[in-house]
Amino acid sequence: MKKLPSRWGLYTFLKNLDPIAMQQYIERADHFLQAMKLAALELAPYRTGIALLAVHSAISLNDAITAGVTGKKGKHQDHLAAAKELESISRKHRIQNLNGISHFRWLLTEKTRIAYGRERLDDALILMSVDRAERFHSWAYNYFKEILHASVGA
Amino acid sequence: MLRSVLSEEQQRSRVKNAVAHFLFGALIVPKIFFDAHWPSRKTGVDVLAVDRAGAGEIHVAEVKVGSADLADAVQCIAGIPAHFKYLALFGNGSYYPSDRSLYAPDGMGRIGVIQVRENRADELRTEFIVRPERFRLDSSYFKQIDKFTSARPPDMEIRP
Repeated sequence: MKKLPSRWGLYTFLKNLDPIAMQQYIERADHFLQAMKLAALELAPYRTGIALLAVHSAISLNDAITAGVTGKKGKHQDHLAAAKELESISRKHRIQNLNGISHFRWLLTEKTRIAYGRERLDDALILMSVDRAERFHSWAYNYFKEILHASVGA
Repeated sequence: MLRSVLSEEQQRSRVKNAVAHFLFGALIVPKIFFDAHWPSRKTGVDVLAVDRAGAGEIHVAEVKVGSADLADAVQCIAGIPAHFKYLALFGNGSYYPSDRSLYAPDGMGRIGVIQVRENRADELRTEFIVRPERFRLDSSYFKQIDKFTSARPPDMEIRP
């Protein structure tokens, strides 16, 4: 059993319900994030790809958390429903800092525009996608540390 | 140009910074600490990076400027508990540590060597000349690194 710390010193105990699926999702999230960082070193030729990798890195890491905490695999066609589920998991486990949810929700909201929109994306949106994705990862590893810790084999 | 007016300590700090940026780019949202007392108050490493915002593997790097005794430096870093260990060299000419000394006695783990060079624009560039291999580490160090990261704010991190 793993415990999640809360800001008030209370602990919620967690059992990793699907460590194998969680590990697979983490690996996928890593691939997307590292590819995003590599492509972001040279913005011009990869711009839309960078933003889409940012979105998918967050979706995969969220799937990892959901698989570990609930044992279910992410099947949300409506990705915003995934953000609601993550918020509900976070509140249930008394996580006070919900910044990660807002980063995740922002990325999901922009996904359609990034992948299917007709207009050309500006640099600010690309850089914001990178920033939000990295901050979402940081949030997830900080607040779901105990359960992700076991899964990354560290 | 600037390099000649810097003291050795300033130059070491520049190199530490370059190594930290190198690790920051290579890892997944790491927390990075300079001059970290790891694993105890009596011992220290130039750069300590804990991957995945403190939830992941432990990386340590020692910086050597000029033609310092590399055999000593390798021996020193070999004794520091971490999953990945690096020796960062700057201004060492063509002097490199012997290959054999970089490996763990049991063969599980190899110290990575990072070459730091200054280009014509006075920018420091880093690259691996020996890629690291993962060391085996007792799981008791996870509790210890958790204590460390919760007690000291990192010098570099992605804010959640």
